[in-house]
Amino acid sequence: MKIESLYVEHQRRYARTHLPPDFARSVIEEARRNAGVAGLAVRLRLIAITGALCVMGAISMHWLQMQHTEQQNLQTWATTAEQIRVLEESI
Amino acid sequence: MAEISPEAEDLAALIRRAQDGSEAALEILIARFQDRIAGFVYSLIGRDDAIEDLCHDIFIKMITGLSGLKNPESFEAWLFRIARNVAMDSLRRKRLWRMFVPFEPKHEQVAEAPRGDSRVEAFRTALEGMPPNQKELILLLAENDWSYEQLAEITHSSLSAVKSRLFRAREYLRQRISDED
Repeated sequence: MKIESLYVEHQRRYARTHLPPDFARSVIEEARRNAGVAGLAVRLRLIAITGALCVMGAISMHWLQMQHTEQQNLQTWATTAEQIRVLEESI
Repeated sequence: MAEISPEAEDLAALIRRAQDGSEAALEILIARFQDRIAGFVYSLIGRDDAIEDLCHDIFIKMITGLSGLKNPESFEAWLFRIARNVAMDSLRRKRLWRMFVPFEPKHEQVAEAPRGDSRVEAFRTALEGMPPNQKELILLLAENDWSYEQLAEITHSSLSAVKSRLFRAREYLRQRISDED
């Protein structure tokens, strides 16, 4: 047997004693727990993104509505000013 | 507990079953590789107090990444690459920690590994004096007869870097072991 193989076998035998008998099962259970936490994190992130999109949508709608109202007010003011000017001229 | 004995099932079939979500297959897969991975990690880091934690991390990464593994034939190289990365990260963290925390004997309570025969001890002593990037190649080759290309992939190195490191490592080992004799 090659010396490297002897060494590896020796190291493996020693390292093996540091793993518990149910090592594989415990890894799988931890992976399952991690997956659960990751799934929850994904759901929370989706909720946060949806919420942020809704807020942005509401802000945009509000801004557009304000623009529209302002435009309408300006239009009304221009019409009124024109009427006043015509009235003043007729007097 | 899994119903098929770990030795009985073909590795590629086992990997495919694990990729399909079979926990029994995963358990067999871990059981089949855990001793080799533990031995490899222990040889790389030289400490026995972190073997279980590092092996845990390695196999969790394996489970997480398994669905993305396209070719089951490359599983072993892929798993050893994960093991190598986790062990090297641990060594780097340890080195960084030593820079900031004053050394006290309680920090380095490492149980002494049982002695092997004199040839194994000579080999161990020689390995301990070797830079980690050469040591990992010797350890990987002792695990499996990887090609230079596979070694380059596992260690994230170029082909020429692997060849020259391996040459230096073998020369060093030859010299040290003949000195011991």
